[in-house]
Amino acid sequence: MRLYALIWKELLVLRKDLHGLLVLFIMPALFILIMSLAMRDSFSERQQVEVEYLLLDADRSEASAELLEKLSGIAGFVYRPSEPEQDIASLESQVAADRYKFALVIPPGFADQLEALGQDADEVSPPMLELMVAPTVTPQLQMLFRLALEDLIKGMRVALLSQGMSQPGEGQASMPSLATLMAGVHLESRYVYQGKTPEKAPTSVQQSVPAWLVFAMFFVVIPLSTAFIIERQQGSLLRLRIMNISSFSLVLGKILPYYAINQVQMVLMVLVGIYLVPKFGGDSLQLGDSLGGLFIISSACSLAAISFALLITTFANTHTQATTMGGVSNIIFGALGGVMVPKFVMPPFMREMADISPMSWGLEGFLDIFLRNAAWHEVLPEAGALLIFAVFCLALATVSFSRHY
Amino acid sequence: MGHRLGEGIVIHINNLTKCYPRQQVPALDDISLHIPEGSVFGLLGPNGAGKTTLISILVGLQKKNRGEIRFNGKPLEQNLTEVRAITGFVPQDLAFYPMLSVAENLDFYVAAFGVPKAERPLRVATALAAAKLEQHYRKAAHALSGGLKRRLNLAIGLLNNPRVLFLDEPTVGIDPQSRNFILDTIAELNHNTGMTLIYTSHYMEEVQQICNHIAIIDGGKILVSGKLQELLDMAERTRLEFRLQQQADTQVIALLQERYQARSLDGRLFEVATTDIAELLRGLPKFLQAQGLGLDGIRYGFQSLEELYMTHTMCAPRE
Repeated sequence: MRLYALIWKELLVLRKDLHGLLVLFIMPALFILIMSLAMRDSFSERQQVEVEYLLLDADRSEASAELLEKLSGIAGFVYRPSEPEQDIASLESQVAADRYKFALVIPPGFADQLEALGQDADEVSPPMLELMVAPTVTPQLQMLFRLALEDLIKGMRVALLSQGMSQPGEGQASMPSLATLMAGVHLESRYVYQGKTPEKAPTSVQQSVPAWLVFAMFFVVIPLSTAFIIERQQGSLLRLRIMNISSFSLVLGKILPYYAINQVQMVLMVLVGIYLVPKFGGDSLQLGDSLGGLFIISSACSLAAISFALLITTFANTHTQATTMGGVSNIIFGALGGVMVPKFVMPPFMREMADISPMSWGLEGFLDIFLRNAAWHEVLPEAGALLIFAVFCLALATVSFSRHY
Repeated sequence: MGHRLGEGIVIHINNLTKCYPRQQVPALDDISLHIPEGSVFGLLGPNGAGKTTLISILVGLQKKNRGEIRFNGKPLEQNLTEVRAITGFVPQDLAFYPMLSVAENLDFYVAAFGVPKAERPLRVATALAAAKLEQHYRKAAHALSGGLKRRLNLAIGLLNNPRVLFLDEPTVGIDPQSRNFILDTIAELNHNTGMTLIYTSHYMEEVQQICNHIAIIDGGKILVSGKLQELLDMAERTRLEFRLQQQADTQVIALLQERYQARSLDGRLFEVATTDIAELLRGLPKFLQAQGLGLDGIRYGFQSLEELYMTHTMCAPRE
C-alpha cells in the first residue's frame, strides 16, 4: 500500500507539472516531427532532395541539347534554364547569394570537344563544362554532382564511338584508347563569392563553426535563466527593485554581461577553427573579409539569444522549467534552422519553415561572412531580422515581468 | 491620534485600500495607521492578514487603490525615490547571492545602493560590525549557518544607512541564540541611531520584547494599534479570572452567570469580561462570602501579547 501511495503521489505531482509533461511528450513528438520531415528525403529511396541549379547553354548545338535532356535525368538535381540574355556575371551573383547551389555553363564549342574523341582532354584545352559552386555547398555534394556530370559526358562519348564503329571504313584510324574515353572530363568548377574571392576554397570548418556558434550563443538561456530565477525566488530581485534600481538597469545588467560572454564565445570558436582544428589535421578557418560584418551579425545574434532567454525566464516559474523550456526551444530552433540538418537536404516546405527560426537568420549571417565573403552591409537583412526578434522578445518579457513582479 | 503631519510621525497612512484583481475581499480595507519616528513598530497578524501587502505598498512595490501615505509629511508616490533612499528592507527570504562571499555580497549591494565609492568601505564595515559578521567576511554565503545568513540579510539592509528599516520576519527558522542576537541588534540600532523599525513577526514574545508600538491586522483591517504598554494595560482592564476554594454548585454557578456574566470553566475557575474592574472587585468577594464560598485567587488582565493577539484575531487558523 505504501508503494501504491508513493506511485500515486508521483503521478499526481507529474500531472500538475505541465512543463514536465511538455518535455516528456510534446518535445519528443515535435522533435520527431521536425527531424523526420527535415531528413525525409535524405533517407528516401525516391531521393526527393532537389538541389536547384542554373544552366546556361552557350553552345546551342545538338550535343548540348542532348546533354540538357540527359541532365534532367540526374536524380536530386534540377536545373533552371537561364534566360538567353543572362550573362556569366548574373549567374555568378545568383549562386554567390546562395539562391542556387550551382550554375552550369555549357560553353561554345562543347559539341566540337565532345566529338574530338581522339584527343586527350587536358587542362590546357578549354573546359567542356564550367561549374560555378555556391560557397555553402559541401564537398560531398559538389563531388556527387561532378561525378554525375562526368558520367553523362562519358556516356555521350561512348555513344558517339559506337556510332563511329558502326560506320565501316571510318573512325578506325582515330579510334581512341579506352583510357582516353574514361579519362576525367575537363570540367572546371569554381566557388563564387559575393565579395572578393578568398585564397582558399571553403572547407568543412567554414560551415561547422557558424552553425555551432549560433547554437552555442542561444544556450545563454541556461545560465541566464538559472541566475535570474534564483534571484527572483530568493528575493534579491525584490531587494534590487526597492533600491531605486530601474527595470531598464536591471535588464541592461543582464544583457551586457551575456553579450560579452557571447562575444567571447565567438572569439573562442573562431580561434578553435583557426588554430585547434588544423592541429588535428583539419583545415584552418578563414575569417572572410569583413570583420565589421562579423561584429554586426555576432552582436545581433547575441541580442536575439539574450532577449529570447529573458523571455523564457519571465514565463518560467522555476529554473528547471526555464532550462527545460530554453533547452528544448533551442534544439527545435537548431533543427529547424539548419544547424543540425543542412537546409538544402530539407524538402521545400521545411526550407520555408526554416526561415521562422532565428538560428537560421544568424547562421545565414555568419555564412555570409565566413563562406560567401560578404561585405558588412550584406549581413544587414539577417542582422535586422534578429534585432526585430530581440525587440519583440524583450517587449513580451517586459510585459510579463511587470505583470508578475 | 493627535499627530500633525510631519510632526513626529514618520509614516502616516490614511484610509488605505488595496484590492487585487479577481479578489472579492480587499487585501487592505480602509486602514489608517501612524508609525512614530524612532519607534520599533510591530505589525502583527495571521497569514493572509495583509501585512505583506501593506509593507509592499510602503516600499513602493505595489500601488494602492485608494487612500494616502505620507513619509515625513510628503506623499509617498511623488517621493518614492527619496523615500527609498532613506529606507532599508530586510525581507523574509535570504535575499543575497549564495554563491558569492559575504564580502562580495556586501560590496555588490553597497554599490547597487549608489553609495559613493569612497564611502563604501565604511558602510560595509559598519554593517558588518552591526551584524557581527567580521569573522565571516571571506566565507561563501551558502556556507554560513542559518543564523549567520539572517545576520547577512540584516547587514545588507543597513548598507544605505536607512532612517526607516522594514524587517519582514527576520528571525524565521533560526536557533534561540541567533534570534536573541538579531533582536539585540535591532534594539541597539533603534537605541543608538534612532532608526525607525517596522517589524513583522509571528513570534509574539519577540514583538513584546523589542517593539514599543504595535498594530494587529487581520482581514485587511487594523484591529488595534497603539503603544504596546497602553494596549496591554487596556486589555488588563477588560478580563478577569477567579478561582474558588471549593467547587461551586449549579445554583451558585447560575447566580454568578446572572449577576456578573461570569462563565464557569470547571466549576471552580470562572472568567468575567468587564469594563469596570473596580466595581467587580468590590462586589464579587461579598457575594461569594454570602454564598459560603472563599476566593482562592484572582488573576486579571492579559498575561502576554499573544493573548491579546489571539483574542483580536479570533484564534482561528487562517487560509
